Amino acid sequence: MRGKVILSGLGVLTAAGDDIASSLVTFQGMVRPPVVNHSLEGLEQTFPMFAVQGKGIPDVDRTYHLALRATRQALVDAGLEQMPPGFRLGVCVGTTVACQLNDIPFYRSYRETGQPPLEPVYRFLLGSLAERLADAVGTEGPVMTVVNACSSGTDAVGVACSWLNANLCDAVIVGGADELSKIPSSGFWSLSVKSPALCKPFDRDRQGLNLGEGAGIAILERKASAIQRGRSTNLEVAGFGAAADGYHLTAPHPEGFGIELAIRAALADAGIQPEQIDFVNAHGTATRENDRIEGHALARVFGSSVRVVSTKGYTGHTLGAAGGVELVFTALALREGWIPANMGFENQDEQIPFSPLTAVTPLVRDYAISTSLAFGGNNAAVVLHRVKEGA
Amino acid sequence: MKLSGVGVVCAGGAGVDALKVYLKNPDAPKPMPMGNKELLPVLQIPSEVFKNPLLAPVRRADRFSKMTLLAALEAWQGAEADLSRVGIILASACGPHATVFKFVNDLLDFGESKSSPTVFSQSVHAAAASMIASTIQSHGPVLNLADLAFPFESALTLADAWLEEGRCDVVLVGATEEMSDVYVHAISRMWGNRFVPGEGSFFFRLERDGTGPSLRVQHTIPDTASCLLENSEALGGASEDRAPGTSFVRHSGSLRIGGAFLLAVAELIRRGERLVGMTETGTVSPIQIVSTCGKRQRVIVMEKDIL
Repeated sequence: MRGKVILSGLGVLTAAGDDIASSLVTFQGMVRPPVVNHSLEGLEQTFPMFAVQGKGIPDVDRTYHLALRATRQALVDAGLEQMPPGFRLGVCVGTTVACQLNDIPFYRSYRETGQPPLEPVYRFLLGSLAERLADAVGTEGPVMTVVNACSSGTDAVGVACSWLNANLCDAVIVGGADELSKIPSSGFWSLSVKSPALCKPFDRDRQGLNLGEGAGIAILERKASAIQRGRSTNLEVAGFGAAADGYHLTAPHPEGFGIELAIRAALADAGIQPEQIDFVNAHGTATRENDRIEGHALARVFGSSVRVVSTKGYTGHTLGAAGGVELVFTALALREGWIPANMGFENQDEQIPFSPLTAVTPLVRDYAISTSLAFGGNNAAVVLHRVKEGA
Repeated sequence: MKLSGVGVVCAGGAGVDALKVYLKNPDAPKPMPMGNKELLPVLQIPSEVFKNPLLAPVRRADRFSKMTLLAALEAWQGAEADLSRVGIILASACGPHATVFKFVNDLLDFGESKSSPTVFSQSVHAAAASMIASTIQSHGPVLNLADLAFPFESALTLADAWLEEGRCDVVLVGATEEMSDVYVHAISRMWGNRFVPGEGSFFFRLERDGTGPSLRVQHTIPDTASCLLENSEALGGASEDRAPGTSFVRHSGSLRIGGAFLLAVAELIRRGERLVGMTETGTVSPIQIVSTCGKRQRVIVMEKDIL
């Protein structure tokens, strides 16, 4: 990183909680949120899914409303409810569902009547997720909606850092959002990666992922800007790395080549050694392949005593939101001084060289890394740093 | 950043040479009717483009991915780079929406249990760029973005940042848009025949240094003394405070990624090609491509060495 970039505000909304405070209560209590089995009309089979419980979030345009709510939390946390004059705020968020004109009732009506109501199209053309958030908060900085599938939220962090490095803005609303949708639900079923039971990241008997929904948003800001506003924090983005497997459309590289490259690039960007990392907030979807491959890559970089958690046991896999949600959870762990437990883990998999953390665990070092792997062989990692007072 | 390679797939065919021929032929643009019930003239990519032997390894890929791959491979020709330091950025407004509708169609016809994992995988925006990375065996960052206002200009800006901060030595940056029956139906009902939609894929190989023309993206009103290419008409925007530039919307069709089409055109102008509708020749510098969306605009500036 060329200059110091801090996380000056955080906002999150998942099945684990409607905000930061309630999410921390969930993690501290090690209670898995209730899952829903029938939230998506017309699914032939039911699978556990993690839905946001918060009231007042409409079903129509749900991803946007999830993102907006998390954004408002983050802006308040950053003291940016009112933008200072001349403040250059960018928006870079990831999603999967909100980038597609995939309204099933619209398409069904198109097929059956030839004259479907056009409201879904007008809604789509209102703007991308990032464009609509930028309009909502009234900023005219750079805007981008990242659509890198499941690594979108983490890749958005990389874009934001590049914008800040290039001095294109003073701060960036960054993260991801996604709603539960029948399209990815059906797609993941077709890929045979959905679990009929609660997900068990890194466990020997894991059967696949649970889908979830939510939004995780952070305000990344140049430290000088935050100090000028009198709102600096001790949480920094220390490094970012991204790499392509260059291997296969859906299957990750069998040896985790790309995720290892991304992690090592993020560590190099941060200028630190692997042993300085306290814990990894892993992608950890609980699919057979992801956890085995990611597990091996993590062990190669950090050793088999690496401390790992997947928070997807609390949230399900929130797809394009996951990177943003897990960025916020990683930052919270550094801020609070403890790491959430990896829910669902019971038995070590002989093919994975470590066991994840199964209890709330105190932090002993000051760096953490969050990883994401995605369709298309995209891999990304972000290193966060808790700066000690006086450092 | 410097431009070192260009790749094109458009209604004129595949390749920069095809684009050159297309833009010199006053009779070239031939919109073809597209749609289910309401037919709308669309500048479609000729079907023979998809028979290119380069596409044989990805014969099961969807149309969006194939046009993207073809354009990217042309821009990649002649590249010499450390493959771990090659980045890929793909911009779009609507992404592979025809494939999304195909997946939804299968869902409605056959139910979830028989939906195709292949179609689902290709309906994801990241699929096309993944095919580029797999084909050229690159391992640098890959970034897909989907915005409606200035997707290509945002991609160029990010490519510049990647090169400047040293994350990549080479960035393949491009934009792809496809048409579908469903989208044509929506357009025709919303806007009648006000637009002739287009489709295509346009890729550019960029390096931090080099001998090619330099590119940058800015927000300011262009220098009207320079060669000005106008994308705003394709987006329905009107410029009220300046004389409009030369529009190629008749050749590109209405495209939210029209700035990418015009950047390929700009490269032809830089090479001294005299194109239909152009009064300027390759002696005017810089070439500026202006896109307007509401009150906002983005300008791609190509500073060129006169050839």
